[in-house]
Amino acid sequence: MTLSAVARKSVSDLTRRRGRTLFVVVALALAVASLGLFALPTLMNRAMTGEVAADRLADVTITVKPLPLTTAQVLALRQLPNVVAFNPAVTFSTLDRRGWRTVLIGKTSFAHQTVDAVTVTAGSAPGPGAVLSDVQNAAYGRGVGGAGGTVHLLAGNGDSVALTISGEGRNLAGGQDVAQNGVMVLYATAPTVAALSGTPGYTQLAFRLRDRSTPAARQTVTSIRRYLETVPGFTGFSDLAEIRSPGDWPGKSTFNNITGVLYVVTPLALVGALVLLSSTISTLVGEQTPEIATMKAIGAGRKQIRRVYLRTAMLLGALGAIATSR
Amino acid sequence: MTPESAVAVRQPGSPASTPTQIELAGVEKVYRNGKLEYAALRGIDLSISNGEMVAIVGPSGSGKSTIINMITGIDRPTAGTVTVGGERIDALDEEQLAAWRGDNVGIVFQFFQLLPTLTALENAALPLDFARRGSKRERFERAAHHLELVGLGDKPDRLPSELSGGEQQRVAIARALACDPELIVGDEPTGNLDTHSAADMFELLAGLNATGKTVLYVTHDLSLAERAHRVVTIRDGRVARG
Repeated sequence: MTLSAVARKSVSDLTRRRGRTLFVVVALALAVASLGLFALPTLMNRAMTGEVAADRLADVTITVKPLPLTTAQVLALRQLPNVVAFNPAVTFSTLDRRGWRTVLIGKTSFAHQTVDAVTVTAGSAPGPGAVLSDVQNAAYGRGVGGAGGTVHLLAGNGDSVALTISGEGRNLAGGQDVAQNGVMVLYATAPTVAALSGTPGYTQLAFRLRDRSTPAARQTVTSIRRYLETVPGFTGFSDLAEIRSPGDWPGKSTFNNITGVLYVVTPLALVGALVLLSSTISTLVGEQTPEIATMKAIGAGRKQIRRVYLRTAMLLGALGAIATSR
Repeated sequence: MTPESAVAVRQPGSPASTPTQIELAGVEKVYRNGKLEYAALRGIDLSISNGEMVAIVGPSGSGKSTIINMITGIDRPTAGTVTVGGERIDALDEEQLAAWRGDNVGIVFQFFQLLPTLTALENAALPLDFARRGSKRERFERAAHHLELVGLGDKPDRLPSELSGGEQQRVAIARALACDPELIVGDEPTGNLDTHSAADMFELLAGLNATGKTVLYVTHDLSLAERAHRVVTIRDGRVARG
């Protein structure tokens, strides 16, 4: 399709200065693309909320000195008011043969995980003497290989113990530990971890609550403490109870910091691109004063001349938008 | 050719207009720049009949181009009236003037003033776009016809930079003819051309005049001026002879 002469002028004004046109189009494209970043927090929140639900992330986590619990005691903790689910776990911090700091997390079961579930993504759940490697290990340069490999860990008694790798698994809190603390995270059964550390008992008590509000969570922590005081061998919490506020997920504050910066940068990019567009058009109009005079002399009205340059601006904008989608 | 006989060769069917195509009455133009005042025109009375071919001559700075600007509505008089084709153009506003120019006057400039990014055909079609005459196809067909008329039918796709000075001025004439105006005005149309091209250009203008159009041109070339029906001499903003 051929353009009318006056429309061709809008186009040819752009092709005459290809470099300038390209520069403006790229700037507009970047600005339009950065607008998409506004959707990021919402998308991320939705994805992470789904992940939190799937992982059954604990609302309250209590750290204690190794504390053996009987089945009856576990049941009793599970039946405390406001508690929906309770899973004790044992963690053991050690080193692997290469000197990497390693956190071994022992779960009571991989079949029925009601709190802080570890999802097996490759291989199988670890049996006795085996470990499951967190998927984030490899991403952060702590790869130990897939199922069938071996990892050598320093036991509580100073011996180096070889454990086979059953596969890879994923857990929000574990992954966050890898990302933020630079440790290697491995999952195993509680007896495997206890055997390695040489100390029986649970060190991490994880609860999911019905009412997740902070006051309710605090009250539940009090009733947990009151119950634990009746358990022989309990010497108190070894750290403050970790209460996750509703809607929170591991890494959220870091992510919010990044999006906070984006919220400032994106409008700046957009304003910058618009300023660039308008200055390009005013430069174009400025350098075409003789051409504008000619157009007036051959019958162009003010509106018609304005339309020539508005069309050029719209073309630039459209090119920028198209460049964004590429 | 006398003015009367020029009127006689007007194309049949063209709208009847007053025998007087252009009428300047007591036109004064004073340019002000801060406290400086410069009177470019000091009371011009000039009447040009329909179908006449008139040359305007005079020394540099005498006011020749200012008269052209008055007649084409590019500039306004400080005092006096300008009537062209029965219309008091000094009373029109900018928008009305632009539309009026598109319909009634074809202007040819000394430096051609073609739009550099458009081809010869597009330049020749541009006034039709502004005047919104016909469909897009009809506009290009008409522009092609006018290029043919000025002898450039074989170069419609050339950019101005790919044409010689004479050829560019022919495109400018084709553009001036776009809306079929009654009046063709040249502001030193041959001033930037070699002798040969200037002669060709004059033939073109004379040919247009022969079809009934009123042709008015400013020139420094006395030999070209003498070939008009009438020579108007301007000196110090006044009509000295004519």
